[in-house]
Amino acid sequence: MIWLLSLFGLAIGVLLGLIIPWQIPLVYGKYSALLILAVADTVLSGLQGLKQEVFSLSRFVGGFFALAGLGLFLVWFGGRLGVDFFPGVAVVFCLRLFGRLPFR
Amino acid sequence: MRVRCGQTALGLASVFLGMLLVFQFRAGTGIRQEPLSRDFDELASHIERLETETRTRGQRLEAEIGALRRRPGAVAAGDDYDAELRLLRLASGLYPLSGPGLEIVLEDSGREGRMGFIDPNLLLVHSDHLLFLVNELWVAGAEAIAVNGERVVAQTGFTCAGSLILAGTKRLAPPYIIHALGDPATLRAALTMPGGYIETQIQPYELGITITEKSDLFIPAYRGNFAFEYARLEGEDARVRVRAEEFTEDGRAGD
Repeated sequence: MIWLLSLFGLAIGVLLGLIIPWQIPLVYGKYSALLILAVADTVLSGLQGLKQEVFSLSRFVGGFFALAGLGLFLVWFGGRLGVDFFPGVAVVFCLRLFGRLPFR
Repeated sequence: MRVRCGQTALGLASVFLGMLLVFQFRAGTGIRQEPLSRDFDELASHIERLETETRTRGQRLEAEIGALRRRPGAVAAGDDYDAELRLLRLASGLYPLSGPGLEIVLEDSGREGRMGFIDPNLLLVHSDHLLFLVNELWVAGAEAIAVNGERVVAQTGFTCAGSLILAGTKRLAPPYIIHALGDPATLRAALTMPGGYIETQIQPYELGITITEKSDLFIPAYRGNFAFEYARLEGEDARVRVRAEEFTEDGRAGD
């Protein structure tokens, strides 16, 4: 039933997003795409943790910031170096997401 | 307590995810992710330079023409020369013209490229669309063509500069309105023939195109300059002679 909560939260988020007249500036499109992947991963990890009753708030929050922080930093830093790390980071994030799929 | 806390965190994260998704979709990324401003500045200064260059060159030529005119006996005054001059000016697009013709309005596709995996570039009007349409019109026998009020002459080239289309060095903005003088029915038939340019290259991408036959169109004169820096006249006799009867003046050509 926890996934229902998540779905409910998602719906509220979409509604809020529709109400708030803001859009991500085009320049930051890449970063926000990664952020979405990171948040999705975090949500799935939270679902997983709650199901298996090993949920830890510090790991939930810390994991998100570590993941998003490292990913976004790598992309930004790559931009500075002239190397596009975006595809690599996106692939890693997607792999993480898919890796969480068969959770019970 | 621990579970309650976890559920709240999870719920909040989901809310955040939902909001982010909406913001991201709204941004409509994927069309142009790269900032173009640098290219724009570069092009703008380039265009600026070209325009001043043309202007000064035009003034110089104007002065030169004036000097040549004043030279005694430079142009033998005669009807023949006047007629030739008029025909040449007419052919060069130096006279504003009017008459029956076709009005073609071309616009970007209203369709969003997001659905289906269509390259959004295909849904925009590009310089080659104008180029090919103008070409079709010349082939169909158009006598004078203007795009967005900019007369198309022999030296006019259409180029793409970032998100702008240039006709020569003049910047065009959508909607692109092409005016062509000629037999409206013939022109329309040439454009809309099955398998023609419009059917194969414009309609599949749902670019907005409307063709209307007009009984009285106005086409402005060419406002730029003709610069010949490298081309030389090949011998004195190579000058094109025009016999008087070749020049048909139907009173349309005003100055």
